[in-house]
Amino acid sequence: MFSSVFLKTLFEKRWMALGWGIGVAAMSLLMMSFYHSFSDGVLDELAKNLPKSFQGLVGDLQALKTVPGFVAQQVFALRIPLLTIIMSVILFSGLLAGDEAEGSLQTILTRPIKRHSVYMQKLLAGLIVSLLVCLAVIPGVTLGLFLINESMSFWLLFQAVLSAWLVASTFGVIGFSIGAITGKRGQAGSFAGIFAFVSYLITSFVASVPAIQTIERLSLFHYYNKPAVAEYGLTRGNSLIFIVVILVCSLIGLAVFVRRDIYQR
Amino acid sequence: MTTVVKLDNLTKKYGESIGIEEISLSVPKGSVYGFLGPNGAGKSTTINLLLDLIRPTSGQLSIFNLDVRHNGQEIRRRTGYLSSDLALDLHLTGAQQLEYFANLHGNIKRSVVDILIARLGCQTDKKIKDLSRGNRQKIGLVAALMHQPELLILDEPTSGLDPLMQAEFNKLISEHKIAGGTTFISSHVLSEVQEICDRVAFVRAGKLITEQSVDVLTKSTPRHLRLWGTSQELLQKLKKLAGISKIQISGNNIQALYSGHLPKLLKLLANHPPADMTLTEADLETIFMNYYGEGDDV
Repeated sequence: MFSSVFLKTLFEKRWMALGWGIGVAAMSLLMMSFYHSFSDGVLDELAKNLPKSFQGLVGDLQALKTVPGFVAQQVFALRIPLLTIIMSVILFSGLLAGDEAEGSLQTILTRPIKRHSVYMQKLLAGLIVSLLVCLAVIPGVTLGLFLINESMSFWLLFQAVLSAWLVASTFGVIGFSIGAITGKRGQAGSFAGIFAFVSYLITSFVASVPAIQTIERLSLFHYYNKPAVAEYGLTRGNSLIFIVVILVCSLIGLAVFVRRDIYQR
Repeated sequence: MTTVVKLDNLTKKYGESIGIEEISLSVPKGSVYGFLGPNGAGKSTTINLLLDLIRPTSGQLSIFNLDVRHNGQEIRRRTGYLSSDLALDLHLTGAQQLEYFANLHGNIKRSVVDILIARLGCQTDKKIKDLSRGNRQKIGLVAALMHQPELLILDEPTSGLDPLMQAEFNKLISEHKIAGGTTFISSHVLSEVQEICDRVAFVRAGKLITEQSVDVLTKSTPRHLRLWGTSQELLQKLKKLAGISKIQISGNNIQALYSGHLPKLLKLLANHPPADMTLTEADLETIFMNYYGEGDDV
């Protein structure tokens, strides 16, 4: 496990991945256990009485009556992205900036390894760890479906996990890049976290506040789970947006990181 | 003689403040070069520039005749580095940490690592977080030497080491020199570099003050002289002695700086013995003041 920066980083983050993975799986399992409570007729009455402005927050209540719709709304609309984004921001913002604050990055950079190699290996390790955590949704949902005696397409579930991973990784990579540029973990995590929170709020309220429709396109949540991935599969255009943001942020971070001064503690 | 490290009008500014300013020096192959200065003088800035962690504002910097900026990986492959406060991975054992460093270098001879571990008495089975500062420093020292580097860059390396280990460290540096290796060592402790260095450079406030051989330095280094229970005759003769300065008299006790010929002082003291005396090495600030005067803004 100590043959490269990549493997060493995976080794370092093994307990984090395990802990968050268990949490994500447990959350998925818990949500699936509520399926039959949502799929009865009570929702029809609730949908009629719900103000339009709240629909953005609770999602399409009719969709909750089907398993894919329920998974899309109750697992992938808020809870899993929220958990995985928090995990990703913590993870990614610490990969370079955290190591720099501790001085271990400087120690590595005094060895015969190029800065861009350290950067890319850390980034790749972060993407793998966040993917592993997101994949933990699958056993959680699958076990939940088994317990409630229901089923859904594994392929759609997998695509929904990929979609959640893309959005979580995008916010994570934003934090990673800011950390690489500034060397400050706090700034990196704060910016990425605030950006994620504001993005979510804007997208949630856009249905009831038409004035924010234009700005809402800058929110990454605009491109997430619309249409619901667990019901309809990944949308190529939306996925491309996340991939482009990840690439652009990574390249900007790399360009600055290889040039800037890195001070010893 | 081949130059291993060459600094040519090297300047590093941090915004408005100056890290180092127009420092030029050459470190010949096979030498042990001391880089002396008080805290904040610019020693670490210079070393960070050598390691390519920070980039110069102006001037040229080369190691093995290679540009540090563009050949960093090749230079670091041939260089070993140790600082006084090397950040290691606290959750790894010493063995895991060394394995990681060895893998980053590649082509490390296991036998060399084992010999170094044995010589320094490293505790490689314990986690770094459970090691004392001195034992962590030993791990760092093994990591700096494991690839048998041509150049050693050491930033106050013996802090935390006990006297026995300091002696072993000095021995390792001597062996490295005998094998043709070059060492660049920064310190704020004069005696540390006096023992092992061939030449020393003094930096202060980011500027190179002087550079000289250790032999010359040793002869000209002032010492703190303290005498208790002195006679008037001794006092009068001391005042006339060449190399004596900054005499402070308190009753029959005398404090002074002495940078003259040591046998002359000892002969005088033998003829007019005080009740007690000490003769100690002056700190760097005193040396600077002695060279450049109190009011000199160097």
